[in-house]
Amino acid sequence: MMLPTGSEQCQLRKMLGELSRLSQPDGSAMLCQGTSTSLAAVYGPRDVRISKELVDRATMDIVYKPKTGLPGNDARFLERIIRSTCENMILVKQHPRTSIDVIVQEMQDSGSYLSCCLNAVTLALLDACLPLKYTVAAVTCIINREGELHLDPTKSQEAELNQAHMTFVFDSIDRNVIACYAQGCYTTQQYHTCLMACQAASKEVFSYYREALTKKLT
Amino acid sequence: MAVDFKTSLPFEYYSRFLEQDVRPDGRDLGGIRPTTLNVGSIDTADGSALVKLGNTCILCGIKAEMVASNPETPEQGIVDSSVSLLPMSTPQFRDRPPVDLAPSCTHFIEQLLTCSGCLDLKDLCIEKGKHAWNLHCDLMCLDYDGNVLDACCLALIAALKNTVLPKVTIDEESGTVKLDAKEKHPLSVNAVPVSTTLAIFADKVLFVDPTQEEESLATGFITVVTKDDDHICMTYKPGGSSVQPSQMQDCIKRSQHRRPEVLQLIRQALLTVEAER
Amino acid sequence: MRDIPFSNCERDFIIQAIEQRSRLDGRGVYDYRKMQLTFGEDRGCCQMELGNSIVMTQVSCEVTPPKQTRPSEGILFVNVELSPMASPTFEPGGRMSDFGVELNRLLERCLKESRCVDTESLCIMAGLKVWTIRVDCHVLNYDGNLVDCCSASAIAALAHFRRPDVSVSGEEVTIHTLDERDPIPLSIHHMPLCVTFAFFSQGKYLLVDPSLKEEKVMDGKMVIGMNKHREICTLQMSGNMLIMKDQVLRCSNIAVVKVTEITELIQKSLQADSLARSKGQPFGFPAAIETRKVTANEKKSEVIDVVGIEEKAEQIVQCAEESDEERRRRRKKRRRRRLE
Repeated sequence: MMLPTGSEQCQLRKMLGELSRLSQPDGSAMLCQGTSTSLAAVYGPRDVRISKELVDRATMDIVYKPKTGLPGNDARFLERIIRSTCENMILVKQHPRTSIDVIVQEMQDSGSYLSCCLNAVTLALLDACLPLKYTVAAVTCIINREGELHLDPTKSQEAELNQAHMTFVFDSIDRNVIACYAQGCYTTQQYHTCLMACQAASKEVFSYYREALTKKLT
Repeated sequence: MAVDFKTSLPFEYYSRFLEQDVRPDGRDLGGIRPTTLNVGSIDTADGSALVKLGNTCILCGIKAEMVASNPETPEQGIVDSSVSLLPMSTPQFRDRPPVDLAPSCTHFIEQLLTCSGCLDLKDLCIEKGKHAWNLHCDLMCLDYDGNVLDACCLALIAALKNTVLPKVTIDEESGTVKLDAKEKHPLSVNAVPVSTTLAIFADKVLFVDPTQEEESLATGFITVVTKDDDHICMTYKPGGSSVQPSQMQDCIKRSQHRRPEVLQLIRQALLTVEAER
Repeated sequence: MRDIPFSNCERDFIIQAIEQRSRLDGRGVYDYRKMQLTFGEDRGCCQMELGNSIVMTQVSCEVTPPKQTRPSEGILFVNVELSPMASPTFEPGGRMSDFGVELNRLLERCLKESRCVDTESLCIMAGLKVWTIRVDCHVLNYDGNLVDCCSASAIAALAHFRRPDVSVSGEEVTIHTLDERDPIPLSIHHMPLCVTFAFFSQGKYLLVDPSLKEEKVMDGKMVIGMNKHREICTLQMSGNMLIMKDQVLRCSNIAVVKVTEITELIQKSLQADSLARSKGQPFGFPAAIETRKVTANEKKSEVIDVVGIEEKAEQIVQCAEESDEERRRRRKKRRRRRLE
């Protein structure tokens, strides 16, 4: 497989975010990666409806709101990925009989949207000061028609006839894979090259988290 | 005694077994439950398949409907799929149905259909810009005992392979469309994606084909769908425990081992149907 | 989660303050909070901030058959989503609360029944195909006076929206993509905007743009929907209070001033957006974030070092291959032993 040659292909787009964007939630963050923008809000741990109560851990409620129309199967799919990622990240066993709610609003989808949402959620959780096991960083990449790797693609690049589209989520401790959603047609060699490239890129995302929080807390 | 231990401390019960590289039902970590496949079980559908993966039972029915083609894609047919987890399939769903399980399965299957390239949507076009086939792929979970994704994937592909479409003749002058119920031709399926799901137990042990009991104890799942011998078309890991890249590779390897078995199963099932005809 | 009740102490304090003609946030009686409009990268996406209340509206369109009663008119559909992120009291999903229904109806009346959007121009083929314009208002943060916020963001989004061009030849309808032909703006006759007045002490005191706390202690409110031509489109009064005729007239006079101000703001923001688009300057949500704030942060893109990752990947594949081999060998050995 060809490694990215141009510098534009092996860099993440500009990251720009605002913590505590909303006044009502306990924690919230708006994150723009390039022009892809998503807004995440966190409530909790707060009281839980009895029907949803779990005796040994907190109930995670994830809502994804698309910009137009009602949420469909894709929204549910996204919610599932966000939920399983958050459940492992938050120390849910520390807050039994409570509910932690995460709401994600689509603001602008211009490519690599799953990673933008997950990163916004992580920032919102950090903003809410919830105790976390680790933070996570998500990075998307594509293998285009020529077999070249391309990090953080835009919407128009995603819409082309690509070989594969992959999103990886890494934890901040060992940089292991927390979540992964890769589709297309690819070999194991290609898969691992993408994984390694995204792993290298996740460093940027983690350092962004650190910078953003340092700025807020000083 | 063992039953008491199991109900009170299910996690410890399982870890004792897994230390010895076996599972309570006698399988080793890479063992898949006995799988049976019955193709063409429903007469009224254009294609159907019934899969039993251990106790998990999935029924897939495919119904072809002739519709006006979508103005945005005049040269293509339409495929829609839905996965429904019936309340009768498990007592677990009755009090708290998992709101996102069925929709996310549906999305997974939809994505699988598009990215595996098993169907060429252009084959489903009858007359450009006017008529097209709409394939409704309905997957129903009759019995839920874990690992629905693999079972769904197998049922769907077997049912698609079993699907026959009636021949269509178009009267040029009047523009009317006639369906020939006698002359039927099979749907061309270009690729056979095979899905393998692994569960992660206690953040480190990986085992294939989890049952419902194992799913409730597992800390994460990995699904790998292979497209052909060398290529993968989907890897899906929705959160859960973290795994090292080498473990991911292990999962991919296991799914590649699984592939010939499943292909053989589909081939045999289709052969028996042929023989009956 | 249930609403947290307001303490009597706080309630009395706010009312006393209002009686002395002062408000909690230091505003004058007829002042609006700070308003800011941001347009997204997509056409028809507008975020309106009114103090801490934030509403985002997205307008979208699709081709549908028309209503049977009006075969030559397009359809305007208005939907207000009270997102659970906006307030801890908003329930996620499912049925809409009474509050949501009231808001939705009010906005529908303001936009649809004032006929501000020319629905006849949305007809493609009479009786067969028309454009359906869908307005989705997402409430992102609730800090009082949602009606004004929603109506301003909805009308701004409608003015910002462009629909794809269509051409009809015979019975064939072709929808042109954005590359083929420039999209067309909707024809908007006028901009109806809602202005909310809150009343206290049996209508004795009145405030413009009540905040969440003021809404909690008010007796009732009156919403006036008006355009800049001084035409009233909607008027709704709710709550348990009776007010004098003069009050209504006074309110409508205030509304005239406020509507002119907001209309000007919308026009100015729309112009700024189109200027930025045409000049290639940054626009959309990222451009609206002020990096000066302590809560905001920017990180320029940096080239990521990918040297050697191919080799690493190969190593992993190889390693797995070897361990796989070994496993197979071990299994074979075990089987052989068993046979022996």
